[in-house]
Amino acid sequence: MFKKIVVGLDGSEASEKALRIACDLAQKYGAKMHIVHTPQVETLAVYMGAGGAVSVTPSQNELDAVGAQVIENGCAIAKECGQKVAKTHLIHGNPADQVLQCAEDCGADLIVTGRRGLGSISGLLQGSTSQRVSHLAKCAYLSVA
Amino acid sequence: MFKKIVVGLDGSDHAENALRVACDIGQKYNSEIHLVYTAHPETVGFAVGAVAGFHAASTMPTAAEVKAAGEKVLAAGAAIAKECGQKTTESHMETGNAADQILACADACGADLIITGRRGMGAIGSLLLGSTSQRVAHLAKCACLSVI
Repeated sequence: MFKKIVVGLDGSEASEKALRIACDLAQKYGAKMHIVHTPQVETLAVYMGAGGAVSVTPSQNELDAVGAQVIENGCAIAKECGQKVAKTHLIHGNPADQVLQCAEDCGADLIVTGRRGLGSISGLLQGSTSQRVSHLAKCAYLSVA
Repeated sequence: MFKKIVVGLDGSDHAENALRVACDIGQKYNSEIHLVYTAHPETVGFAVGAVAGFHAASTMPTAAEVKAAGEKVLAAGAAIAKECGQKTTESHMETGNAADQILACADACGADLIITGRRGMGAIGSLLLGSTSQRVAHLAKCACLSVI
């Protein structure tokens, strides 16, 4: 049933939980996993411990460096769960749209994300990404609380 | 993980797909499966095979029609589960708001996964597309899987 799973990561606890669940499903279904991360200013702020308030706009390089860490952390979690990540994607743009695009590109039959990510900090609406993914996904979608 | 699954049914194809997915997951995780059906005028009309005009009706169906619809949808659900080699643990026929009833059931039985069709009967009648799955996802305390 689930042969290809796309997991959206944003560095939040909820998305890490989502990843662990995806790994469990991948193991039971023999599915391949893709990880997608779209670095946002808020992600960087949390990683820097700035509590969400960023007074200086980070450079694209800084964002990508933190993004790479988020992905690396994701791969480590997958390894812990005895799973291998088939492909990782560090992309720029709208997180929901990038998750959806990746799912379409790789023919995913399941998308998994945390229900609320870092959105409780700064201007992101709670769950705006998971809402958008749910609305537009062409496959099954699992949101993890 | 996924020890108790609640599945929302409304008689639509999407909901039946959701149930099949629930059965598959249930088989892999050895889960309990709970079915919930909440009568809405549109879904009752559809289930009892009323003509298209009924879907736009503001008339609430009779209590007998509601009961018949619920029994029909839940029986169909049990049959699908059987086809998939799974047993359903409990079936619930409710009235009120579909999302709220699904959530209440999930709370009551300690569900760790709720599965619904992403869009149900909403294409017919006045229900907004996906309003139930959206509300469930918004308020659920556990994981939610929406199936197309």
